Amino acid sequence: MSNSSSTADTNSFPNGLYGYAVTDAGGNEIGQKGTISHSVNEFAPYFNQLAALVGDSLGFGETEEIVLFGKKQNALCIEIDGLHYGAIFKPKASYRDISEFLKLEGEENDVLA
Amino acid sequence: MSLRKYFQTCLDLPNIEGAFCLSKEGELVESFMPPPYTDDIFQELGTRVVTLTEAVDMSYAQTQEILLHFESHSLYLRKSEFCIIGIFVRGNPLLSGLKITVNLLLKQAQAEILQASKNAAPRPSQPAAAPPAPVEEDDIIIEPNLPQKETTTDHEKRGLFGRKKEKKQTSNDIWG
Repeated sequence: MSNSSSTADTNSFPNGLYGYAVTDAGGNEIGQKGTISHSVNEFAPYFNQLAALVGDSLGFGETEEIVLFGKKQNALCIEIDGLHYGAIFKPKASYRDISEFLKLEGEENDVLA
Repeated sequence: MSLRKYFQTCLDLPNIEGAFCLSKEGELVESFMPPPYTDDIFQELGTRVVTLTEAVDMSYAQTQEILLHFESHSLYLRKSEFCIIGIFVRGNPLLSGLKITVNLLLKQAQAEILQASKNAAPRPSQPAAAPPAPVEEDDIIIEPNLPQKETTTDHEKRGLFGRKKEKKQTSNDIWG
């Protein structure tokens, strides 16, 4: 995955997705596609960790994803195979579509790796 | 007064298994969580929910709604000026319906939630200190070696900049 975002990259995006970034558990950015704002790439691992703690209090072993609903844009943080994906999308976009897309991207990246 | 009548509309929605209301500080105001969840979980859960919402507000953007997906359930968190509402859902929630219902709940029950938040017992930040053990005659009491406090007279002697104020000895006898 490259850091530069091209039209070819974003053509495959589901409706409403601005972009997403992938970071490792230490917060180091591994790649980025499209446009990322609010530094969600930096905070995605931390949000995933905090969400996991909330899940732990309720007796759940794993947190699948965390969706942040903002006024102007939404964010989705998801952990796939130890990598943290942080995506920014329009409020009207379906977070389920974005989640499915990221999971597919995660599988592809895993195969490429 | 129970908040159940306000929460009942939420609890009646399909796949909703439970709900809770926390104060802004994360103290439990009221819980309608199903068994085996007891109120005891909120000592930990309340703190973690507040940490999550504040971390998102501080590092990302002001966010009123957060949805957490776990293995089989979801937790929808709705933050308002005076409380945090949590809705515990089996599977994926019908988000649009849930948002409207919780907004209505916050509008209708604002005064009651505020009152209940005031009545909620504040969580002790530290365990209460044990009372001092009675001193027996044989006990050797070692006084801590604390620095001696300055007396007011010493301070006055030192002057404003910590130096001893020495009055210039000037002779009035200018004519020798």
